[in-house]
Amino acid sequence: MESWGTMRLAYQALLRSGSECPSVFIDTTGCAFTYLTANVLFGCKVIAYVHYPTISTDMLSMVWERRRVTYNNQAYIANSRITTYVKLVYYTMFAVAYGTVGSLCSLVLVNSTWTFNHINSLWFLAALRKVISIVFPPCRISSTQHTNDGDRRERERIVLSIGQFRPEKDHELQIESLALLFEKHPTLKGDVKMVMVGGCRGACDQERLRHLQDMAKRLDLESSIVFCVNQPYSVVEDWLGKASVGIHTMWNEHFGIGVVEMMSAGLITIAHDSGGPKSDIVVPFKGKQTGLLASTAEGYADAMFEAFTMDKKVAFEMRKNARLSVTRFSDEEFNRSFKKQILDSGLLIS
Amino acid sequence: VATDQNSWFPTHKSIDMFLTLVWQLVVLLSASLATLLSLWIILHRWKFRWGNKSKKRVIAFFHPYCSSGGGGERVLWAIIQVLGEIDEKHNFLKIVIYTVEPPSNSYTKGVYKNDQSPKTNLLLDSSADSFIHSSLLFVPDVLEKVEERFSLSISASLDITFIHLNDCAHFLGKNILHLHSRIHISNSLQLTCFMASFTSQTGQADCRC
Repeated sequence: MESWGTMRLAYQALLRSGSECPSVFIDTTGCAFTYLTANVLFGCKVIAYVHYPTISTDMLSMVWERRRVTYNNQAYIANSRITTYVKLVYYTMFAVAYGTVGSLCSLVLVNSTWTFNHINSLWFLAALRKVISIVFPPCRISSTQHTNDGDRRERERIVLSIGQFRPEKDHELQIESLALLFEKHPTLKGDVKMVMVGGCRGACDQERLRHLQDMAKRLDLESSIVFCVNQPYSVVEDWLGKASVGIHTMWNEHFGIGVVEMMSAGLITIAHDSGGPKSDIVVPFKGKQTGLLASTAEGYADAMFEAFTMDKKVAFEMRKNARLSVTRFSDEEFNRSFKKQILDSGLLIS
Repeated sequence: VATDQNSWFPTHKSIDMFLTLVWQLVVLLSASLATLLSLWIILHRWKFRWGNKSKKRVIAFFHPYCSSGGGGERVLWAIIQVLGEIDEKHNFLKIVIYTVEPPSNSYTKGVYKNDQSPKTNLLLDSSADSFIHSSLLFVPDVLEKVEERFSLSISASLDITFIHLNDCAHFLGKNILHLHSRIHISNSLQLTCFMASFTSQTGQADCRC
């Protein structure tokens, strides 16, 4: 219904162009069904910048395997065989429709290798025409970038987490990991703190925050975790300058701007071993390590311990490499890549 | 044989004939509908493509919530910055942004008139009386806002027009508006996306910002 809604909205929008019907229709919002309206009914060439696929093969296999209850699969749905099959049929039909409308694009730009792999398999006709390319999103690099001196200076023993208090961010895993770190290395308790910076946008997020605070209390981590909610970006920058370790726990994040920001600020970043952070961000730079990857509470606890006990010279090298490696996600790099793609496509002149 | 002829029950042959007739009707109806639909699409496209009076190449952006402050908005303006740079030499591009949300509070409502010069950044359409209160004049303060928020400087010579779709917001449905409320962020964090998902559940999955 929502896809139908976006199609109708796009139709009304294009109708209002009157005698100045667009030649090129650019979508950066992921409303793929608007391509049908723009291309078929108005004859526009379509360019899409895709942040993530509306439906992914991961989602389909997750429903099929019914192996975990996630934010997208409420317990009663995951446990019911019939609803699983119905959901699977619906998702498959939607995937085919999504692939068909996506294939109407003349140029498709995606934000990461993870998104590229999914879009390449879903938008099969666009993939056949070889019009899909990766252009990393423009990230705020300069404002948080620190110097070599910044990498060398002593930072506070803080683990920083940046992300909205949404279920997919998996803040529970961060708290579990901290609890496990203190269980394995009790001397760190009282010495290491975790700061969770994020936004709450409604009752659900508030409820989730309360649940996290209760969890911290239950695990006796009340004094070790600071919740920093709905603060302006200057506060985030302040924490980025103070903290020494960054943590990211979202499974299969399509890109990971938060990870880029932490790396550009010179934090030793521990990111989830999946999605964009694994394939594009926390990757070796000139053969040298730029961060750590983990996927379980044990893995995160070990990585945090490694980050805090790392030799200063090694830590400095890692911070420096991380900082330098993320310059490829800057505004300037986006500008250069996008300009090349759009000029090479010839869509602005034909 | 006599018994067969007097039976009220239809024979195999008559059933076959009936089914063939139904099938032929279905095929005929489908073919007619497909032809009508194709004709309508062709005429629709022809009307807008051939009726295009713009001297510039019009590049349209579909971005219902262009002021939400998210990462999707950053991508929008970063792309417009690139187009502004390309346009600087030949001044051949016109940017149109379809939005439900006004880009800034200082925007004034525009009026479509034939005699206005393109420099006023108004869409020229004499037949668009009903849109008098739906278009928005482009004023330079939005560029200042973009520079302040995203550190992106956009060429002031670039022709940009917003088309305000405030009376069409209901098309998006309450779930998208709900999604919008989630991604309408304060300055605390960057989001990486705006997404029109197809169910509220997948919307939750999609909002991986």
